[in-house]
Amino acid sequence: MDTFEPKIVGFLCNWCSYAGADVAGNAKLNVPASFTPLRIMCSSRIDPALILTAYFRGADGILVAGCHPGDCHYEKGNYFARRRFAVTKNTLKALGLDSQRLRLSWISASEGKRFAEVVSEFTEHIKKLGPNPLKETGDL
Amino acid sequence: MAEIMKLKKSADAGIKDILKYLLEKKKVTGAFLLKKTGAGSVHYSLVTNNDEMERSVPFAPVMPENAARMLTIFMKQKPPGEPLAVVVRPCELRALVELSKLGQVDLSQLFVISVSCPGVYPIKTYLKAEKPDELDAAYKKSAANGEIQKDLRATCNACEHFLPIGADITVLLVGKDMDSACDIVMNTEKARDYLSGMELKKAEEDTESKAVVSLRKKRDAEREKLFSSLPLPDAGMDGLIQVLGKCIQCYGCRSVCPICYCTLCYFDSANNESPAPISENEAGKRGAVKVPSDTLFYHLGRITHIGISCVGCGACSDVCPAEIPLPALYYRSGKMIQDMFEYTPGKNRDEERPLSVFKEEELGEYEH
Repeated sequence: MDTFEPKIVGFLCNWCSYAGADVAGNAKLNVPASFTPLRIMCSSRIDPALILTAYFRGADGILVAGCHPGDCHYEKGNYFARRRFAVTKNTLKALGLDSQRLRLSWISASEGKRFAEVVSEFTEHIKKLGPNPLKETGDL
Repeated sequence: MAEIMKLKKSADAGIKDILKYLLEKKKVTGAFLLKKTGAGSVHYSLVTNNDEMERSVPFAPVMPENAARMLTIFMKQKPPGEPLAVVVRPCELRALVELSKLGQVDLSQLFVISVSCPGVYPIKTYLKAEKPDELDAAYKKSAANGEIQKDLRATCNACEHFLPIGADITVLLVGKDMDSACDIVMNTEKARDYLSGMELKKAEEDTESKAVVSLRKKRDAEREKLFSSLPLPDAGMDGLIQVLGKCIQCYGCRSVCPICYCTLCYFDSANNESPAPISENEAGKRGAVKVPSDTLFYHLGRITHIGISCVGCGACSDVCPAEIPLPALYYRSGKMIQDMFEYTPGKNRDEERPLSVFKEEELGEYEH
């Protein structure tokens, strides 16, 4: 298990979290290489189907990150995103899948340090969980 | 206590009289209800003629398709003016309310007649019955006594909202002899106004009758049983594959679902295609992939998309060729999602769907 390097898909909102990731890069902070960032215009763009696609294709962890509540570039997108995320997470839980592989975090455009911390923490968390069992089976 | 109008006829004949009256007086542009066809089957039909009304069977114990689905297609471009009278079951009405919130139908153009619902038979049971009369008699008997009828749809026997919410007229079927009584409750001013010219005998009665209360209790117990019949979530991923793995992805459940109204479904869109490079890559990692390889994804996607509005009508279970326990799966998951927001689909026309609104301070436990 020591050699397990998780694959984490991160959906980052264009205005805050993606900019936060940029700040982390400029400041040369350490961010685990297990993280694959995807830029989206707003966290409310995240249809549950996108999270599920990543999950069933075998992503070990999925991060959705957006602006802090109250700071959304579109005023209220992140509030909708939070409700949808909660529904997706609970659906996985109710059907016996591992909802701990999903995470929602708010990271602002200036929080490079927080970005690096969130990704490192989440990577550690996923390492403890082990690989996503769904990537082994062809019966999906 | 509610004011009840009593017609001394069968429930079928009574409601037909009312519909004929509404048509004659031009209060409505037509009546939308179940009607027998030449093939011996029963279908929703638009009836505008009193002779044809005779062949209608408004309370046939079957739901060939959820009426809400039909009505959204059907009500498009209806000009303003007199409404259409519709005879629907409570779950169909709740689906209509959900669809109106989604901008798919205008409820002000409907005059809604609904029932206190004993449930319906699965389509196959109804169509294949060797002795339809016996099936009918058994149905009426259990309805009159407020009993569970084990041959009915599983979701019907587990239904908690069998008294309609927001109908103009409610015809009482539970606890009544459908052959000799047509007891109707006028719920709205519109109903009283439309029927003011009809001679109806008034009486006072509690709509929460003994039979209704006892049926509700029995159905609550049935629902517990239905929900606990799934091995989920305890059996984990393998359990889920056990339950859903039989799916042949005919998308029948989606086609009959009243809430699935999108003209282009995500699962039919280019977003969900698995061209050779993707499939080969996936197979390479896993050794093999089932084709199509998105069965679990499809069902989970559907639950997250429509769960909040699922009324538990059971239309999906009637059409599933693989006999997947869809009622337990969708009804239970839907209810779980609805409970998160204390939302009952179709209950309140003025309440927004929870995924279209938010509170600024909430769901903190989901943020990290």
